[in-house]
Amino acid sequence: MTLSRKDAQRSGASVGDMLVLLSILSLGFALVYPQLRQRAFEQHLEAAVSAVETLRVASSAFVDQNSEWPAPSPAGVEPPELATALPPEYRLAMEGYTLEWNRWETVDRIEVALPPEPGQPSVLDSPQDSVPTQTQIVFRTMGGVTVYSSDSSLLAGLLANYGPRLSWVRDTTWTLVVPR
Amino acid sequence: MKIEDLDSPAEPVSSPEDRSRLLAEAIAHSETKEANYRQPSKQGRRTGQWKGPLSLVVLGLSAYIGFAPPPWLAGAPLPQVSSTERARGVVAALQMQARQIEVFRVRHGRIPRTLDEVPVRIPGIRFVRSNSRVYQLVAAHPNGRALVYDSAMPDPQFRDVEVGWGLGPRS
Repeated sequence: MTLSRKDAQRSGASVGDMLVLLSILSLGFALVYPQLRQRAFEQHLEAAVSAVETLRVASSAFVDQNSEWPAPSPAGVEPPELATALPPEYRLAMEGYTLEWNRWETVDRIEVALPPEPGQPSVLDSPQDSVPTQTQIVFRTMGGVTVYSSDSSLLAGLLANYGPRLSWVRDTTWTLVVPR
Repeated sequence: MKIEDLDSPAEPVSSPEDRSRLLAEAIAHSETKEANYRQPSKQGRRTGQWKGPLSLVVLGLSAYIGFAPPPWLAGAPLPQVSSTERARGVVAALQMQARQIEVFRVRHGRIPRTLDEVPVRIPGIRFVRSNSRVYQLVAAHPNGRALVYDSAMPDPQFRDVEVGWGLGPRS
């Protein structure tokens, strides 16, 4: 005890000085921590949105050229069709979240008015319930991006960014529908 | 060469008495300094008395801000998914899975025996086949109950959830 006090006095700092310094540092950290956390979250969300957008844009360009969406791939695995379209440094498995490309198929049943027989009034002149129709089955495909993350704030941020009409959150996943 | 042949020193060599006196003075000086270090001045101790309480106050304030930050300091809270949005997510997942089964039905003329036959399977959904035409999809609702999609009479909420997906009427 005597030696430490002597050493402290020789160096110009006492235990009290160290306590004051430590408390001021802790106060400063407590003051800036909320802002640091908010900024870190915003950067994390921006990176996730950017990753989703990159995959969505590349897939949309692919479907414009090839008339079909890329084949679905497991989470974290890049769709082979997009190997050249995605940036070289692009990864689907990032720290805190993993992306997955989906392709969903749907079938729609559409009522189509049959062309009028010769001598019959045109479809536009006929009452709507008297026009003969035929049911056509139309297959459609939709793209989809699913983000797996245990960070519910990130999923909520993605949902807020893309809106609830085209995306939803379920358990630890956020899913985006990419209509053509 | 003998020692008598050497030159005599320019200054006289100190005597043993002088050396003893100088050593005694040095030791006395060192002991005085040591005594000063061992007993700090009362003035110095008095000036440091405020540091301890100040540190405690500042540390307490830091702990308060750290564990229960006031709203003006905490800023906007991180977003969270509401139970309504989670419930809508379950409805959307069931509807999307039902769409995949309907594609299978049109392609094969029957409903699948299990979801493994469907190309796209959304995890966490149970498939119950009632008969050769009707099936149910069951998933866990955030409120703890099971949410059921009945292919014979789907609830309107399943139709509502797909508004915006750019789809036509379901077959």
